[in-house]
Amino acid sequence: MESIAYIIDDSLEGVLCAVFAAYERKERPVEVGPEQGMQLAFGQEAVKIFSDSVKAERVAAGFERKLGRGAYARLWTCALSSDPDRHSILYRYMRGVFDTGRRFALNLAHDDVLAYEKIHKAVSSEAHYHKEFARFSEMENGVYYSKITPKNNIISLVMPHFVERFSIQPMLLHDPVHELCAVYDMKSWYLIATSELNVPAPTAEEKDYRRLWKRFYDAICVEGRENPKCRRTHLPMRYWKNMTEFQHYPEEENRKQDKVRNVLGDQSGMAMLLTEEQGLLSGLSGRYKNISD
Amino acid sequence: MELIDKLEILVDGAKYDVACTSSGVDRPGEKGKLGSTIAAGICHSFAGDGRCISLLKVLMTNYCIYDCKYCVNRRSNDVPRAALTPKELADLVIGFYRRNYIEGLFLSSGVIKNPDYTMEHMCESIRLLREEYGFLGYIHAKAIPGASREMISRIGMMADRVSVNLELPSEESLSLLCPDKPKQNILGPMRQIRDGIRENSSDMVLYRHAPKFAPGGQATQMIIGATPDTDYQIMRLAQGLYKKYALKRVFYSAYIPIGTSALLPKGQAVPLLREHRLYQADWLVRVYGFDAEEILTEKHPSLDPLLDPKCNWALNNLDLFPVDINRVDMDTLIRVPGIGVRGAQKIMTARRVGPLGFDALKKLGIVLKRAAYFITCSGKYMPGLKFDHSFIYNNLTADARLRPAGLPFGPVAQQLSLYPPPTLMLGGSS
Repeated sequence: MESIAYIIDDSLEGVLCAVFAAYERKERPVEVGPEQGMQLAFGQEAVKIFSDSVKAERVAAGFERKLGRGAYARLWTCALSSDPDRHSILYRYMRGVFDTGRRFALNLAHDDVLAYEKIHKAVSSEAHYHKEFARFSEMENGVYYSKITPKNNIISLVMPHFVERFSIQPMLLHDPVHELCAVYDMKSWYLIATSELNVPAPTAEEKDYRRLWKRFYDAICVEGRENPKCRRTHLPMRYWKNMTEFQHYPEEENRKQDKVRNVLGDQSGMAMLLTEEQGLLSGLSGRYKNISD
Repeated sequence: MELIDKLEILVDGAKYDVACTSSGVDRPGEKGKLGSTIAAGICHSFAGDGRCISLLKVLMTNYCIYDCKYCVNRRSNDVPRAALTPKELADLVIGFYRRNYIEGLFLSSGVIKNPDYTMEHMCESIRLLREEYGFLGYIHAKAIPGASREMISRIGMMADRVSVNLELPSEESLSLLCPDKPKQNILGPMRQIRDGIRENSSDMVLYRHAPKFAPGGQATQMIIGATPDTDYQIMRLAQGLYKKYALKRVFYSAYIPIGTSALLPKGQAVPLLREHRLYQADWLVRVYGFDAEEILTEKHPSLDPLLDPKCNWALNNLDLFPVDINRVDMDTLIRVPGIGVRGAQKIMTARRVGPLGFDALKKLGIVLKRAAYFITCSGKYMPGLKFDHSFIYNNLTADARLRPAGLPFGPVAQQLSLYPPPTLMLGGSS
């Protein structure tokens, strides 16, 4: 049989329609993908498949029926991948599920299943990394802004987490790589396409918090136990450029050079502390100030 | 003193506490309130030493009336001292949290005046966060040994996890190095926290919205290597704590020489490898259902630095192996070196479709470098390998013996042979 490639829209709907078309036309395309980036082999026939939301929905519903609840959500997650082969991988997986049923998905050592699970892991773990490492800054208009530069298009997987957690602050999660912006206006959140974005300046308080965090980050490390390899494993270097603790703070660097520590005789401090019999909250900081100054 | 300098001092005093987990509680966010927690916990950064940073780990104050020999905050140590007010601390937590720097607070303290007085300050900070700021993020609080029952139950109602540090693995060590903390002052609160957590479940039946006592459970930590306690004693102790005190985690902290007492070991820090091996053994007891006595015995009280505890156990019990990965149940599968919980689950799923061979195992991500010696696939043993104790031991420890530095011993002597040793043919699984 002649080898066939399907040319589809660059979307999950396109892939779903390719599955529909493959059964309708009784064909087994060896490759599925958008025209851009498709390299036809010699003698390969290209068929253009037009997207149709009704067909796509039928395939999606059938897929969920075959594999059970949550299967479509997983598929959708995989479709956010930026793997150049993603359309073919999704197609082959769905085709396998429709051909052999649920058993197909259990065969974790099958190459098509393996490829599918691999992009699922890549997308979901990148989403998780962004829940960990995204950093927000308070801007002068009161909005908390965060820039992320993910490989996969994970912004819609991450934003619900922040909206649930930070429901009391307006937020802007900005992904210049995919030219997307997730906006939370204290009521709901939505995605907008942006090619350019004017970000207001950070507040004065924001700058203090950045330095405080940087100082905390440097202080928490146990000297003599530095382990750069372990750190890179858990916190890959591509995340560093957007993270507060890896930026440079001139004040902090100057301080390190002429670090004069205010060493106290702690016994005297203890004595002062113990002689004072004040209430719990009344000016504790004031007292300690006296001790240290 | 500026806030930023106080923070530095108080982090310096807190950083030797190893626990930084934010796990165990699933609490969805609420509209109009700040924060949520996720059962698996979230790390937010990793420090230069490779440890996870999940919580703002800080002391209320590093002034301390005690003089525990191993502790950086001991009375006799000449370090700068500072203290935070509850308000300063709460603002710091909120400011960090809103920027997604942290998952919450890990609050401990040096002891000022007496344990109760200290805990009152800690309680006040946490109350401020929970009640006035409506903070729903994670809070892990340290109970101060010797604090009264009232203080412990107060802090337990507001924090997600409460822990009391065991400090040292045996009573003799404890009385030697921290004479101010008798064993009873540590175990008493631990017992109380356990009972408080148990009451959760019975109260929950009666009142659905009953406030929960430390829903994330309790943890503890001990310093290893500062005293002559053996790995065997430590693991037995940990197992007892998991069983009797229903602890969620026991943390081990390799001793770092920050003390100068004559009672402490001189010079070098305890090798991190020992700490690592203890965590591996702990994992086997906590997750894999091993008994401490299976891993270590009175005769062999130390974990092998060359071999991980699971390999070691398998080698000592070769009569139980090889097992056939297409037949045995989950409990047997997870006891195979190189197969973890996730790997075992994958095998269980995939073999429903058809029998698995070595190629399939490799695709599933099983570490054949270790597993291959202990398994068969549908009756077949890996070609090129010998099921023989010294053969397996030599191959499994080959990497460790070649490791140039970092281990306090040289290469293992070996009997010379006229025949070249069989080579491993496992492909690129290393």
